[in-house]
Order: sequence, then C-alpha cells, then structure tokens
Amino acid sequence: MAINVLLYEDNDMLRESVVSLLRLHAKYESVTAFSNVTSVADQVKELRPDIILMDIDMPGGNGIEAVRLIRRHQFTMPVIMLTVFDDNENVLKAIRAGASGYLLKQHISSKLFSSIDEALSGGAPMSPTVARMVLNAMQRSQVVNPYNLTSREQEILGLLSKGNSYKLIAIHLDISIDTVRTHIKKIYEKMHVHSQTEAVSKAINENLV
Amino acid sequence: MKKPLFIVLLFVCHHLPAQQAVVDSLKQVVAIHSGDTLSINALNVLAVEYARTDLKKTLECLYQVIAISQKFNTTNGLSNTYSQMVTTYQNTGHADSAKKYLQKLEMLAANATQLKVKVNYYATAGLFYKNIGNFREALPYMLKSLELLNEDKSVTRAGQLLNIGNTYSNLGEIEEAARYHIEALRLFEKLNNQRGQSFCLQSLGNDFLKLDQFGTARTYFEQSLKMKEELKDNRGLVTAWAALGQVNRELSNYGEARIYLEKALAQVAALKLNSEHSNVLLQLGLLEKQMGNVSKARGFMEQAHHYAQTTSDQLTMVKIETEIKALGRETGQAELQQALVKKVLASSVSGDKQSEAEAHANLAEYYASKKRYDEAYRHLTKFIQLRDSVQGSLVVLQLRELEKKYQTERKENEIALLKKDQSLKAAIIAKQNSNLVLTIIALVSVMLIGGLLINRYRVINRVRRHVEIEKVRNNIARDLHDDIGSTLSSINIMSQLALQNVDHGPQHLKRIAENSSRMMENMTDIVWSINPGNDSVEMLVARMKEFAAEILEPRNISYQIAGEETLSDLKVEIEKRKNFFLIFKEAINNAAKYSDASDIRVQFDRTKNTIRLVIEDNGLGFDPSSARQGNGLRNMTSRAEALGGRLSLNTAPGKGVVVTLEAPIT
Repeated sequence: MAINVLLYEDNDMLRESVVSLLRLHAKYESVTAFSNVTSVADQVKELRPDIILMDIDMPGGNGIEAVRLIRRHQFTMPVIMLTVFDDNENVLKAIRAGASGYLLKQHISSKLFSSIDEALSGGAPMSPTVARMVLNAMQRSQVVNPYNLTSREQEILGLLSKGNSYKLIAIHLDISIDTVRTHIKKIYEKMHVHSQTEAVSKAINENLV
Repeated sequence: MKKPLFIVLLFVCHHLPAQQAVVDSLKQVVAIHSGDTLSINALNVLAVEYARTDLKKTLECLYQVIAISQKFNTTNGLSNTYSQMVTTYQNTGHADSAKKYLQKLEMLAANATQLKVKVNYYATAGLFYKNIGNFREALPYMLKSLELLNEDKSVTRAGQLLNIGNTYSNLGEIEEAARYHIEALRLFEKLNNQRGQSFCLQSLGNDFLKLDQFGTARTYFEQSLKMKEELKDNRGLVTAWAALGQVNRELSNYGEARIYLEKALAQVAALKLNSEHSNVLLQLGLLEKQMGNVSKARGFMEQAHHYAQTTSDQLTMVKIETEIKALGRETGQAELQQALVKKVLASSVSGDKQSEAEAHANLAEYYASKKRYDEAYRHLTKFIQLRDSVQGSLVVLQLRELEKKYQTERKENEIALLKKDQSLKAAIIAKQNSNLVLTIIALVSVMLIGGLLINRYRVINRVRRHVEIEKVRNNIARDLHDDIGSTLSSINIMSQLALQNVDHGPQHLKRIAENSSRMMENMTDIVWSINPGNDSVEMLVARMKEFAAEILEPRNISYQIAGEETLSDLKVEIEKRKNFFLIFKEAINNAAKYSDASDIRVQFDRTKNTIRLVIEDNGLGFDPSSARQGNGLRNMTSRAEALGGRLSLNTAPGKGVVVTLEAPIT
C-alpha cells in the first residue's frame, strides 16, 4: 500500500537526502519534493499526498503560512514540520496553524519513518520545550485557559514541560502511555481550533473599536 | 467614525520597522472591509507603503480607490488618491497623466470646504513643479500649503517643511534650505517617525554636498542609509546609494563610489524609477569621466539623457547634454558654446544658481581657450558672483552655527532632564544670590559636570558590557572550533579514505555517520546553553531528564530521577550548566552503553553550599585500578574541577558503578 509523500525543503542537499532516504522503502517510492511553497495549494490539490513534510524556514515563502493555506483549503492530511531547533516560537505557531507535529532535522535519519507512521496513525508528538512554550503562551494571554483544556490535560502539559517523558508521565499518573498520547493529540486539536477562532475574533474585536 | 482605528494604523505604520507586517495588516483590513470608506483609507495608506517597493502595485491600489469613491463620493479619500497618482505617474515617467490628475485635484480643491483637501492640492502642485525642475514655480505653492498648516504639529507639516527645504536647496539658497531641513528633522524626531528622519538626513547631506563639504555630507548620507536599511525602504535606498556614490567620487574613492552607484542602478531598474534612473546614470558617467574612461562615460550619459526625457525634466536634460558635449572631441566648438548658453538660460529660468554658475565657469574656460579674454572675464565674474551667493564662506559659517545650535539643543535637553534637581537648586541659588556673575558660573559648571559625568558613566558601562560579551563570545568560538572543527576534519579525511579504499568504505561511512550525529548533538547543546532563558536550575534538570529518557527508554532500562526540588531557585551560569550537563551526559552514556545495566538511579541533593549529583547503576561495574583512563572519565574529572568541585567513582566488578559529583554553589 503505497504512501504518497510531499516534501517542501529549500536546502538542496537536505531535500535530495530525504528523498533518497524515503525511496529506500518501496512504500514511499512516490515521493515528490519542491524547494518552495509558491504553488503549494495547487500542488496539494493535484498530487493528493497522504502526508506532507514541510520545512519551517524557507526564504520567500513561509512554511507556517503554507500550512495555514493548506488547512484553509480543507485538506486534512497530516503535516510534519521540519525544523532545526525546537525551542523556537515558530514550532508553536506552526502547531496553531494546523501542523500535526514536528521533527528535528538532526533526527531525520533516525526518526523519519517512525514519525511518519505515528502521524499517519493519528499521533501528535510533543516535546517538553514545546509544552513549556504552550504553557507560557497560556499564562501570558488575557483569557484564563484560552484553549479550554481539561485539568488532566493541563496536568500532563505541566509534567511534560518539566522534562518528563511520556513513560514517566504515564507512571506518575497511573495511566497507559497510549492514554497520554491521546491527551496530547487532544491538546493539539484544541490549539488548532482555538487559533482559528482567535484570528477571527481578533479581527472582529478590532472592528468594534 | 472609524477614525481612531485609522490613527492607530497610521501610528503602527510609523512605528513598525518591518514593512511586510504593515502591508499584511492593511491588506487584511481591505479584505474585511472591501467597498466602504474604511477600505478607501486603508488602500491609500497601502499605496504609500507600496510606493517604497513596487510602484505598479501602488497604481493598482489607487485605481481601486477611485472605483470605490465613485460609490461613496468622499472628497478626502479622493483627494489623497489623486495626489498619489500625480506623484506616481511622475515617478514612472508619464508626465501627461500626472498633469491630468493635478488638474482634477485642483478642481476638487476649489469646490471643497475641508482645509485638508486644499492643503493637499498646494502641496502636490508644489511637489509636481519641483520634480520637473521648475523650482521657482514650486516654491509659492509649497509656502502656501505650509501657511495653511500653521497650527498643525503633524507628519504632514514635517513633510512640507522637508519639501520646502529641498526646493530652497535647488534654488541655491542653502542656508534657508538647511534651516527648513533641521526644523523638519526636529519635528519628525518628536513624532518618532523614522522614515521622515531618514529623508531629512539625506537632505542635510545634500546641503553640505552643495557646499563642497564632502566629509560632512558623507556622514549624513551614511546615517540616512542606515535608517533606510532598517526600514527596508527600497525607494529611499536608491537616493542614499546614489548620493554616497557621488560624494565618494568627489572624495576620489572611486572603488566605493562605483559599488554604491551599481547598487543604486540595479535597484532603480527593478523599481522602474525613471526620475532617479537618469541621475544615477549621470553619476556613473561622471565617475567614468573622472577616471578617464571617456567612451564609457559617454555611454552612461546618453542613457541618462534618455531617462530624463521620459520625465520631462528640462533642467536635467540640458545638464546632461552639456556634459555629453563637454566629452566630445569631435563636436564643433560652436555646438559646445551653444549648449552652454542654453544651460545658463535654463538654469536662470528655473532658479538653480549652482547650475548657472557651473555653466558660466565652462563658458569662461571656452572663451579663454579661444583667446577671447574679455568675454571670458565677463563670465568668470558672473560665476564668482553666483558662487559666492551659494557657497559664500559666510553661508558655510552660518550653516555650521545652525547645525551646532541644533546639536547642543538636543544634548541640553538630555542633560536638563537628568540633572533636573541640580539645575533646580542652581536656580534657587541664582534667585537668592543677586550677584549675576556667580549665578552664571553655577549654571555653566552644572551643565559641564552633568555632561561629563553622564559621558563617563556611559563609557564605563559600555566597556564593561563589551568585555563580558567578548569573554562569552571567545568561549563559544573556542568550543565550536575545537570539537566541531576537528570532527569536520575527521569526516573529511574519512570520506577521502572511503573513496580511495572501497573495501573499507562501509567502516569509514559508519564512523562518518557517528561523528556527524555527535556533532549535531553538540551544536544543539551549545545553542541550548547559550540561551539565557535556560539559566534556571529547573530548565537544566528538565533537559537532563529529557536526555535520560532519550537514551534509556529505547534500551528498556528503567530509571528514577529524584530530589530535584532541593535545587529549586538556583541560578546557574553558562559555563557551569554546560559542565554539569556534560558530566551527567557522560555518566548516563557509560551506564547505558557499557555497563549492561537494567536500572539506573539519579539523585539530586543539596547541603548548605554544595550541590550533589549521584548516578548509580546495577551493571557489571569494573576494576578501578586496572581500568585505563579513557577520554570520557578524564573529561568528567576535568569538568568537575572546572566547576570547582569533585568527582568520585565507586565501583567493583559485579557491583555496578556509583558516580558522585559534588560542586559548590556560587
């Protein structure tokens, strides 16, 4: 069962390496790669990928904007952001724009396939750094609990931001690792939904001034 | 109505250095409000923004406004639009269209009651005439618009001051020009409008250029350039680069002059800015001429003439013609004389004293070469007369006075604010003491002392900061250089080896893979440790836990980390957290990879002034006396010493390993 992958990466060497890496497996044979996002909407419509790998930082065309555009066109395939550092505001912005997860470029050779599998089966990995950023953003916002997280979800976010792995969190709260993963996925979805309503209400609020 | 939002947007436009953000937010407003008065205003502001980078888009916005305005009949919005169309058409070389819209604007102003619309018409008309080189005509319009803006303390007024300054400059009245430029600069500074300031600095540079004060001119141009770069003002960069090209040519820095002019040329073509295009080409021509490349000079000047024609700038066209003729050896002398006389006439009509003076000088030279000395003398006298009125030493002196006054006023404001107490006390003393001499001395010494102290304070702080930054920078550079530099070299070597010896290829490749992995990890470590957001002990512990999870969980080694609460509220500086983390990393790596352990315990502890870290595994252990001191162990020990602490190892075969680190809290 072939999986259609679409890759956006402006660094030529990296792009070619990832394509070669993917083609090692027959099921990822049909991978298409582009060096810029100028025609991303048309390309996604035409190629109908099962999963998209998107570089966050591209000159002349923002990866995050591209994700937003993809979601605005009602495409629901998972998008994994490729980034050099994960303590970057951009990762948070990407998630709120609708990314399903992210992968550090230095871990591509070891974690690319497992990340793709996880994303395709509905998972959404989150690291302690991102958890910390989400918590900070929540604290800074005017509204209490802007993403409407349940207390369990907030608890998990807190433990994650202290550096605990999913396994340690599962042990600490006496639940299974899968439950932890499900909660994290829920948090992602809430962030994405929230950010859409936020954008609309911001515009409305400003017009009421 | 929706005015407050508008004012906010305008403020935003002036405060945000990032132009793209401004454009985006404006586009959003237009999208949400397409087709009502708010979008008219937004489109007008958007057109202004685009005027700095893409004139075609400017025109598109303006057409949209006209379409919407037909529906709503708003005079104000329409007047802004017409005004922008005049300027844009002029700049892209469509003189007739520009004139057409100027007439429309005139009619609109005549029938309108709002002051703003009338002011707009006068300002636009003034600018229109100035841009075709007709300075005498331009001045009355500009002065009228300024008169109508008398009470205003806004950007509009500052802009008018700037335009009037530029017109006076073109008329050769440099002192008046500089006065208006300085007033405009002051007002823009008060309004915190960087774009306006950059234009004023450019204009002041031009003033000094006209007085042949090249060094000072260059300083102002460079200041203007810096601001424009920050503002990403593509249009403004052209004038800044062109001016720097000219001034460097005058200073005989031909290399620098060429670099600036070529930059300007590339940008001016991209923006289709015909009005500036001819100037840049002329400057390039003059540069080539000064360097002795006559044919290249002629080439540039002919191109310049072509562009000047498209904007109907009579004066510039004549100037260029004269230069071209001056180059030509084949042209008959009579033609040269004709061209020069034409130039004199054109300059005196438009009021440009500088060009007129130059023309007289050239004519004097020409007549002298023909041995018609009385004619030559006549023109020379005229030249000196005109030059003196433009460049008289008196004017230079007065200009310097003006400049000094302005600078001193700024410094005085700063000092006065900081030393308010002292000056208050001095004032009280002055009141009580009727002796005039004493009070004057007190005030002067207060200002002097205040100024000196502030200067000293600033210098000391700056030096201290620099030293600290230098230290950190050196350390980072050293770390990167050592480890990553050597790793890259070894990767390079191994690749060469793999190429040469195909049989051992896979081994080398394996090591390359390991090395590059390790290097990526190291870089991430370094970046992490530099980040000041990570300087709390909680962040350090969080990172250690993340690392442990990454190494141990895939190997199915169970682990526990306890005691982190004892360390809360400690702050750890860059060097220390790096060493701490790396010791931890090494210990965990050893336990995971070599000890065959199935369980690892990590315990944090804190006594009065020591931190303690204990890492214990249930693996094979080793015999400490027979073990060779591997690199890893040596590193750990030296890092512990760098922390001012101690590392101890407790192990025996079959008994696992206990690593203990004790370090003092700073």
